Amino acid sequence: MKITAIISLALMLLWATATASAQEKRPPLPSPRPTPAGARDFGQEQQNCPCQIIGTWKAQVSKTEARLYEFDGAGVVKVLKVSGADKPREIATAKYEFVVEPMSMEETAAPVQKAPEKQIAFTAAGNNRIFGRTNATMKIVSYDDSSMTCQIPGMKEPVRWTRVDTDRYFIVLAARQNEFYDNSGSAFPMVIKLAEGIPQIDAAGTYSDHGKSTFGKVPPDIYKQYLGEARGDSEVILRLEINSQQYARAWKIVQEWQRRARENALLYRPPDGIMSLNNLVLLRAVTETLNLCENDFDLYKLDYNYPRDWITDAYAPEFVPFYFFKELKRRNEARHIEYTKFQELVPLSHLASR
Amino acid sequence: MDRRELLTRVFEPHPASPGVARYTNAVLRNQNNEAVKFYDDLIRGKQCVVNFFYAECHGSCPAVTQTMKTLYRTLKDRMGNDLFFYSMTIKPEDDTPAALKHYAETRNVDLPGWYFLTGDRYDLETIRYRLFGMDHPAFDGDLTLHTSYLRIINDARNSWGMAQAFATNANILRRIAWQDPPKSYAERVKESRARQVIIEQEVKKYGYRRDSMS
Repeated sequence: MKITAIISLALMLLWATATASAQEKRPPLPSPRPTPAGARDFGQEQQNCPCQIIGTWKAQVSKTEARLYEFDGAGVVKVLKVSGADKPREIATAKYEFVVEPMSMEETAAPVQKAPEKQIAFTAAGNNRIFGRTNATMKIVSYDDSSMTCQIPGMKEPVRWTRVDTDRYFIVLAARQNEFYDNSGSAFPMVIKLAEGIPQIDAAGTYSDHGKSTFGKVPPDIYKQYLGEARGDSEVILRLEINSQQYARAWKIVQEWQRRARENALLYRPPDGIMSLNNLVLLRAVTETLNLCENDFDLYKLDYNYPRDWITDAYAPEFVPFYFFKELKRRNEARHIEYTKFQELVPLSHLASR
Repeated sequence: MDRRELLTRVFEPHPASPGVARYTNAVLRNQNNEAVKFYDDLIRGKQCVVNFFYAECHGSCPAVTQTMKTLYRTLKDRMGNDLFFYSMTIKPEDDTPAALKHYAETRNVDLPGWYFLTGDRYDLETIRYRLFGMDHPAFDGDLTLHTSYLRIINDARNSWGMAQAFATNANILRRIAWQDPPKSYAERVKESRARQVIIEQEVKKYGYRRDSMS
């Protein structure tokens, strides 16, 4: 009896040692591969950077003098002169029209479409003149979220206008693991507008409603938990400062998905569809819209195109957001705002009620 | 079950169709700029063939429209009565009702029972995923993929079918026929007898039964 017990103990020890050494010998998991920036895949919708003229633009006329052009949504532009520390002074008012040139048949059929030509037509009101004329047309040579280069008639060199943002904007990508029964967790983007020191936060995605995985508008008491420091390895939080146009586009997507959840119009619905895929489509749209006009962030292309997209290949859909955010954080570590600095920038005690 | 419940069940028009829950009741506009509700006006109790396209498409869309035009000619007697074609745009920003009218007129497909539909992107996206969703974000995000498929719906029977738009016309017609309303006993007997005559003729001529179905 004793001998049998000793033999079985020895066999167990032998098996445990063999298993441990086999595990040691196992090759390590492949490290994340960088995503080369490339053209959109065949069939993917080509989106052009929208030229949003409404807002305030600044043009530096000389070293000491600048002009502010305030475009409103009703087709009126005000021109203000800024010199030194003086208060901006209104020097002209005009009606404006944003004209997009129609594209030819060949241009629309081209595999890589260029954006149609755009120009702004001004008609000065009263005795004021804009660019020294009553009627003037300004051709937009190039533009992105924060600047616009225009060709003004009578001027040799193109003029660069920069967008003036009085408010500040942030995006926080938060994800957690080991929260639900299947070890997946919450994952959602938060878009933050900081106007006059008061943050307005909107969030949509997968969150925990009393331990149950829920998709939709994230309630304030839930997203507030993710505005703090990340809780170890099971949580990833990426905080980035963005510009007003990036915010506007991301906000629109978040609003759309909040509406989809509210109206039961989700793109994937159980029992026919996989619920977690909704979050993937949302997260992909929100992150991709940040780079719609310029390569501002180092994004990971979540497009199921293996081997470039190794995350969707390696993980089930409900785990993808966590590793996606982790990879985005790794790539944009330099732009990530640390918690202490974020606290100073966004006073959470003044959270605007939504 | 009392008599009232029995009669309600028997005469309930579409007991099994999920209705608005599946199809949505989004308000769309056709090429005549008429507002239509997707389920109530276009799907409820009807048999239809749905495809997605856009007017400025220079890829598969014109070919698919041509295929549908050929199918229309074959099914002419049924079109607008118990069978409808719905071509829905994937680019509602560009495809206004006027643009769709122009598209239909230039291709001679502005025909009774064939509607070209546009609307809010949100609604069209929801309908696209509901009808053509493949549970895979890469395929579902690929807009061109959906321009080459036809979804065949018979709401009265609550049955669905799918056809490749580039399949042969006979293949697509057969798939549409699969979703046809159930035939009466007398009709089925008549069809079977007619088929038996063909089989017997084939056996007599060739010595074996050929595929008389195709």
